Amino acid sequence: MRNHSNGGKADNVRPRPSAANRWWLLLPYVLFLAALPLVNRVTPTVLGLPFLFFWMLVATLATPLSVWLARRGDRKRGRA
Amino acid sequence: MNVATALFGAFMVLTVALGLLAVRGRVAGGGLAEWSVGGRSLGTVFIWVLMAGESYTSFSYLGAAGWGYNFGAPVLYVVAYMSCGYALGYVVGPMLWAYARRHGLVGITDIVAHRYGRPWLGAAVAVLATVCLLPYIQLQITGMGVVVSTISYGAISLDWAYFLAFAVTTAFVVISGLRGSAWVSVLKDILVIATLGFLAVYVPLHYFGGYGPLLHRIVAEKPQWLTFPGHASGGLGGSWFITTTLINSLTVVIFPTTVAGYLGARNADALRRNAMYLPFYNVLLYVPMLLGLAALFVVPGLVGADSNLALFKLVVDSLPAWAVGLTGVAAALSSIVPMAVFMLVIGTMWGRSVLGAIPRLAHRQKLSSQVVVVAAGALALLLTYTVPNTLVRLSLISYEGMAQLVPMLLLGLVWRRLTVHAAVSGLVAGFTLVCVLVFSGHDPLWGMNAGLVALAVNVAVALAVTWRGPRERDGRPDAEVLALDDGFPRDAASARGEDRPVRASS
Repeated sequence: MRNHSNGGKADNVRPRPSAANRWWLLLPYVLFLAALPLVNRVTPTVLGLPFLFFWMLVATLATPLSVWLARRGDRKRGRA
Repeated sequence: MNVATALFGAFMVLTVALGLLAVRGRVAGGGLAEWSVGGRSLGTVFIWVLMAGESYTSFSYLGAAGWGYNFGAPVLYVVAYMSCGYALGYVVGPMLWAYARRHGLVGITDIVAHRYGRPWLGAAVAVLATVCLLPYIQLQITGMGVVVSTISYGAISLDWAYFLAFAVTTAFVVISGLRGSAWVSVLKDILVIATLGFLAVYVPLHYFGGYGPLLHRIVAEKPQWLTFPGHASGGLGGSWFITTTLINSLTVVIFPTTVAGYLGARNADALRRNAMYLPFYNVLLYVPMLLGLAALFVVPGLVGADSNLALFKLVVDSLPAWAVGLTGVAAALSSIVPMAVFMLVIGTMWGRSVLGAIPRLAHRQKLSSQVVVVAAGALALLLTYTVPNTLVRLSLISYEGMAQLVPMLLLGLVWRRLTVHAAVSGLVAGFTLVCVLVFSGHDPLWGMNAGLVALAVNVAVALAVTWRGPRERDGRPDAEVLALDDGFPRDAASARGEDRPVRASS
């Protein structure tokens, strides 16, 4: 059914890249969930923000970064 | 007619026009895939706009501010699960996209029917998913209703506003499907970003003299709102937040409307790039949360449904009519776009998997989908007028019920041994448990999201039946049944976007 020969590029036979870099995708889970017991507090305030809300904002902005890291690894592998 | 109402009316006309323009120049009769998933032709930008558009609903304006006002911290679950879900979508999106494209599928019911080789299962899942989705249509109708009647200063009554929500949405989605929704999303996202960005600066300045004083006051006077379990939230503590985020992040990636967005993509890499850019949109969610908190000082004492208007009370109180009108348009479009995709998805599921299974209608799938769109919208509108509380009660199980499809869909696509008996048994057990727990008032259960408890039971049952239950006789090869390939570019040419179908023809 599927064609694995792909024009004779032997190193590209396996379509699925090995997935170590994809562990980065769990970073948001760690920041939002695993860290919660440590960050569920009002003080210290950062830039006036209560700590929990500051932390959540950091986690929100770290999410695109984690996807970027996962994708960077995938792209390297995909073109190897 | 006042300025805000006139502005609103003009934008509604623009919305319908934009939605219809989306299909100009497209060949008529492009078939179901053209209508349901935009001919699988949307690039990164349109996918971003559409998926941001459909996830940022009227809840974001009303519920997020209301939760911020009433409870405080628990509202953060919205940001948390959307962020985690978008990251997860990096893997799931391309997987579903490649699978659907290879086998010519247009939605989750289709995918399930193909995976298990059982058309009736697709039909059954369509019915179940419709029960879960109808309440969302009503939420959008009522959400738009209160916004429109508020920003028109009462000039448009609730009942008329409900009807407008239905009429505007139906007017374009029936003709132009997913592509039309993506075009309207452009207008929506621009207005949402502009108005929320403005409000984020203006409201603290206007009422409190800037962010410093506002934040200082919140920290000093409302500390209860700033950590879990929040203020008088009735058990929405840390473990509730963690379990809810977990299950919702799993559910959002298979939610039929999300999947419609995935399948609309031109290639898998558009989805991967999108998974990277989409989480930035979540930053906007902090604005209604913050304004909900600010409203505690400006309009104290809102209770019940009124607290959902926390944000709009500030807007109406502090801004000139034209600015009120624009904010209202942004909020109304935040109802219209998700509602369009909800209706589109219901139409697609029925046209393909339920009515499409009837031989006489099998070759008229697009037409039957379009008829179902109107019917589903009309039904939700009718129920909103007559028995509003029915759908409100149903909405309690919507998300947690939909979550029960995760094992059947995601586990099934990567694990061949999962039999149809096992997947169905798990689904029935999980869904039943959700209904029992939610309707008997046991959600959260032991401080945890009841849906996650049910999902654990769901998986346990599915595994048990797989190992102990009847064996499956399905002669198809794994490559035909499982989602083994995720459309990852295998050479430089496809990495540049010239993605070929995986069924390589060489």
